[in-house]
Amino acid sequence: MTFQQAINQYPSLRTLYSKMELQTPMARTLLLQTPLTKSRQWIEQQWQQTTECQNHLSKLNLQTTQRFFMHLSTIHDISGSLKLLQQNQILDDIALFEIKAFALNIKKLNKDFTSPLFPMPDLQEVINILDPEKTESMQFYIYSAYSQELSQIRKEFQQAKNEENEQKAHSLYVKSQQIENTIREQLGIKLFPYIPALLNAIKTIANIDLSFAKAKLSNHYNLQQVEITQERTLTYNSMFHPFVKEILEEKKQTFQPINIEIKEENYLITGANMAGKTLILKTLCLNQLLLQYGFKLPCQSGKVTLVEDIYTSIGDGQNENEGISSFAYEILNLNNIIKNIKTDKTYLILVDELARTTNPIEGKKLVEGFLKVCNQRNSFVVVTTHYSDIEAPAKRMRVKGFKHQDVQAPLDINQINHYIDYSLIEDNSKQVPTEALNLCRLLGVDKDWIGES
Amino acid sequence: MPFIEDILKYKSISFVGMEKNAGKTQTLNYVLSRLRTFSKTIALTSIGVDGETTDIVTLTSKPEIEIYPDTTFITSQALYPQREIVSAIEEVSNQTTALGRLIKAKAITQGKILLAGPSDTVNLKKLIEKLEKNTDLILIDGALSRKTFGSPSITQAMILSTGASLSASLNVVVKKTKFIYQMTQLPQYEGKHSEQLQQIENGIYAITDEGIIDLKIPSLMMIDKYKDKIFDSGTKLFIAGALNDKFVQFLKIQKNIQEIEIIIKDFTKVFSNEDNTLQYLSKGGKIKVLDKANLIAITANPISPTGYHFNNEEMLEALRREIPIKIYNIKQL
Repeated sequence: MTFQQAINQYPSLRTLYSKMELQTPMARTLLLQTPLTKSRQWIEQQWQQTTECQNHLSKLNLQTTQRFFMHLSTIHDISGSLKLLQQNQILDDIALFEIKAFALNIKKLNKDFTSPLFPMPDLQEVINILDPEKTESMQFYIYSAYSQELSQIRKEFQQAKNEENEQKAHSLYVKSQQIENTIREQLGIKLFPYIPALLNAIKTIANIDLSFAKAKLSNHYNLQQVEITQERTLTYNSMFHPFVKEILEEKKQTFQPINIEIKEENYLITGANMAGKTLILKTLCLNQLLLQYGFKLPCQSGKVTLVEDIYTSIGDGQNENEGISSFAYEILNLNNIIKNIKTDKTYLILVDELARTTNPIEGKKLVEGFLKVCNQRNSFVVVTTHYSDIEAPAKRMRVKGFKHQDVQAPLDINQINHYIDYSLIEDNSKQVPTEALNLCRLLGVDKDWIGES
Repeated sequence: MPFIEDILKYKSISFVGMEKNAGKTQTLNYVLSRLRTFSKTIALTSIGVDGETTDIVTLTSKPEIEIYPDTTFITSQALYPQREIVSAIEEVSNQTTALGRLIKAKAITQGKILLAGPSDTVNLKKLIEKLEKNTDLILIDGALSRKTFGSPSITQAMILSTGASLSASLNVVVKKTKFIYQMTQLPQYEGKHSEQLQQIENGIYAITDEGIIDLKIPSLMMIDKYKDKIFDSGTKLFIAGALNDKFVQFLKIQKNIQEIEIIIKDFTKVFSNEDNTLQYLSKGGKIKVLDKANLIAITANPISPTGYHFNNEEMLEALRREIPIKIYNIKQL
């Protein structure tokens, strides 16, 4: 799964992507084509580069930062021109200009930022080839300095123009075009050996741009590195959902971070409505994606295993139903997950309120069956449910839920966070919290409806 | 040369032609050649691609605009190679036109070029603002055409070219030119919400004390279906697109015509028939514009490409009698 495919599937990741301030199309392509990785080394290298950029940002003032990013944004992707060059095609002045501008821009950028983590090839020779007048100014044409003959013809062309001899000027121009073309061909031959260096520079620029975007994101949301481990665990201290946290903080409310420790067993989460069960699944999903695409994570610290892939069934409209019933959609999706996961590999499987659209008796059976099947596999399985008496191998956790002592009716839905303790506690009672009616009461719904008139 | 002195008062000027071969390019070339003697930095671009000189499909047109060393010009990727000049590329923008990305270049020698530029007002405005930083005078090859959304009214001044190519009848040439002149004199709308109205791309709106109300009429072409709704929210209407003839015909027979105030973006949005428009105005109907064009001169070309030509003096006299601004004979400049 590439990052591009992932953002189509996971709305939170898409939101994160939309908040990234990428300056160049090269970085965008690099990111979108990144596969979900299982390489610890690669992830740690990404973190190292992000940290390097964070350190650099902390040293700059606002003005220099803005200038740096402005500068980065002027760097165009020249891979198209390089491809033509590779095929021995003659480049036009626009392509030659772009190669020169690229090399000059990189030289300028290097004055603001260099790092051994982003080794940049030396492109001075490319500049020299395209800058025979040695002015290093941001312009290009087939300079008269390339050829005495060309220089002479141009003088005669201007002379003919001055004399208003249009015919002569035209034929001189045609002649100059032939010489210009020969020069373009020669420039191509001279530039040819520098194609690898230029391609390398494009990659480095993409990487610098992407790392700075990650650095800004990490600073903004306070994202952290975690420990990547071989033991099977998904452990997070003070994990949070960056966008929900942000929205709450905008409303002058606080987000309660969550501690979670998932190990060998299946993980069954219960809790009242509105207690944040779905959000836990979404955060686990986002964290795993961020980790394996080389981002830092929204938590204080953690210890996490890399997984083969992530499967979710979180019905929040992320998948349009494609014309089939929501029950059929969910069940077929889950069946697909069971079919796809291999016993010798580790996956992360997140299921929100499994079989919630059917009756509790059969629904319970579907939950139990799913947990049993998954138990024979080697994956992390986290399921939330409202069903009681689930008889299946799982570690049972409950979101603490309402701080009853603090609650006063009627409840303001916008202030709900004050009344809920979102932390997870172990709960082996097999009974789910029955708070729906209580909640309705607190929300001030019609009394006839809940039979309390 | 009073004509050039007038031009030097402004920072941006657009050149528009009433018709193909009306002499717009000739006027532009004349101005460029004259400006050489003043030490002014000049930049040139156009509104979209000039349909008069360019066969967009085959790209076989000839460059016709003659510029001089150090002049900056904007064109597109596809048209840049079609020049007859030594020029250096200074910028390749990410902004694209139908003919590729925009190229900014500077003339090293004298020579001929083909221009292209943004075809919409917003991007044209941005480009002008950017160019203004390093240029004394920006000349824009404009268009009076429904094909482009860009308006020559965004420049500080405008020069209109007319001539024998419009019609073999001098009366018709005068009448048509006078009409365009009259449209450039439409008063500026300075009432409520004018900033907001600028941003609206299409539709028909009523302007009331409460705000701008979308009348939900998809197009003025379908005016027949919506006649009863037009004045639901008052008689002050904003037309984001073109003011067409059907609508003006409808307006001119309204009883409350004197209360009607139509607001359009600029004079190039008037596509209604001359007679109907003038009748509407003379009966007391109003048309106002968000961007008022500043027409500073008209150049007239007595010669038609099909062969016939007007008498120089007769043409000038006839035009001057009807149009009270400076009018020059392009052949005598």
